[in-house]
Amino acid sequence: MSAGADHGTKPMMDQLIVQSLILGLLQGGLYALLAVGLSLVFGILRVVNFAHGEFAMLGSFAAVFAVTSFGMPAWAALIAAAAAGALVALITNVVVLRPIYLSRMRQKGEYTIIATFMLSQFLIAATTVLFGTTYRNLPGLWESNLNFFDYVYLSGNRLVAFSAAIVMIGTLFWIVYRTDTGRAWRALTQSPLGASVVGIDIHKYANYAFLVSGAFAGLAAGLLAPLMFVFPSSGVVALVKAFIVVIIGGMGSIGGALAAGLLLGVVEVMGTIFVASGYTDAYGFALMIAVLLLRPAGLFGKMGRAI
Amino acid sequence: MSVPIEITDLRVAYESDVEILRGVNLCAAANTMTAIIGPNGAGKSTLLKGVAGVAPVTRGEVKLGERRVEGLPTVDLVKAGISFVPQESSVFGQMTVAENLRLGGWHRRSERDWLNQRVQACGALFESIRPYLERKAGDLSGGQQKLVEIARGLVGEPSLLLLDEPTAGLSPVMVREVYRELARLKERRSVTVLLVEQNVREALEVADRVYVLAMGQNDTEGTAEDVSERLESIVRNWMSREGSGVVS
Repeated sequence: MSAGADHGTKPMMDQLIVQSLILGLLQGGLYALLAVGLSLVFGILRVVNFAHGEFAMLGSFAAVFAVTSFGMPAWAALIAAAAAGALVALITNVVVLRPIYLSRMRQKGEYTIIATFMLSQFLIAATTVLFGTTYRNLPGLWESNLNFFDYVYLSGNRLVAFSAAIVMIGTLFWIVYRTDTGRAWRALTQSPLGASVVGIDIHKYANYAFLVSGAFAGLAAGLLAPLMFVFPSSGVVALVKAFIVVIIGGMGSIGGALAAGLLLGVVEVMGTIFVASGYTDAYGFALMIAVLLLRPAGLFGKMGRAI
Repeated sequence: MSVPIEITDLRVAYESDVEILRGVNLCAAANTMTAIIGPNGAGKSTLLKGVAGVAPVTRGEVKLGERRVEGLPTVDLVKAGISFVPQESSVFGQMTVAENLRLGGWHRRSERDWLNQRVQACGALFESIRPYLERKAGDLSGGQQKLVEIARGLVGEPSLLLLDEPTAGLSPVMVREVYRELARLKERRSVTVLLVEQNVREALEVADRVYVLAMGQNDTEGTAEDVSERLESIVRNWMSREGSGVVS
């Protein structure tokens, strides 16, 4: 290769790296938004919620129907997605999980896993029966491709999705560290017994956690819908991504979920562009396995468990 | 305002086939300190947990003043004036000591001036934690964390204080601090205290009345002086019993 060719290749490579890095971060913001609710619920209630992906899937269906059946604008569809996710999550907590907490059975944790897994399968089957297996799409809020200084090219929808994700996670941080609800959640995370003896209403704050978890999952799916397809088993993909993020970031950590989401997005995009394009999901799994081997408690370790 | 407590035929079972408490009776007048002693597995801690709403009561009555409170959720029990300091660690490790204390007044958190004053007052109770109010509670020693829990239990100005082995794992200096505070509480006569203790002699020194449990039931009871005198025979009786009190 000639010196002139080297001069031409390096700036192109730099541009590709910057472009992939930004794309990865944008994708990662959505992964973080998907995962943060799963992490919140695990931190507060020690519930590994296998139905979390279906909160997202039902949110994206609500967004699609809000636009296609009711003619709502795209921004209203996002509110519908968040509301649907929140409602299903709240019902899940009250109808499926609360009877398990209140029972005197052993191994409640294992029963919550089984119950949420069965609920997940039920929701996928019910959605398939009701709406079929058609792949659906949703118009985005900003359907244009943006050119930044002829150097970075981004989809407007991705930028909107990332901005919304960061705003929502920032809001969650504010709730956790500045409000009574957040204090109650932190207390429950750090010592369920302590929270109980000081008189924190565990059921009330568990409901709030599920509402937020479902709303975030629904909103994330609504934001992803213009970039991907909506179908009954799309929640499985969302759940897998959310689990990878939560395991990498440290279960129960909101900050960890944000950092891990961004990291996962960057690793996936970088791997797809610079290693091989057919293994996008495999890069995430490889990262998760590496974290499990080197830091089993997640990148944010023990500290992260305090949400 | 302090209230009397009357416990009648209280039964607690964590699972339907394992009854830990098998009909315990206890009566404590307002503003008194009652020690509950007994061998391991007697059901002392379970009794406090049953009263505090963190263990499932299957039968019996708990009357706080004139009000029946058994089976109420812990939220309502705290509002009713019951404060429980469990034996197990219940400190919020990632929060500062001051934040821990503030959570002790959770049910009255909207009364900010009152709460600030209570946090200050309870933060000053124990010399071993007084300088560390802004430090994370999880960074303190196990003994200091226990003192934080006791101070937190007093923030809400409870009418009934349930202390489950408050000196377990504490250094002799801290044990003295705890008993100094218990003596002060007794002197002020502002709260009814049920105290479960393994340090029997220290407990007898501050208690007005003593209940002895064995195998999930009442064994004997009396004034602190009376039980002190009979202590040797009571302990001999414990040693002669078999099993832990868990009945399956």
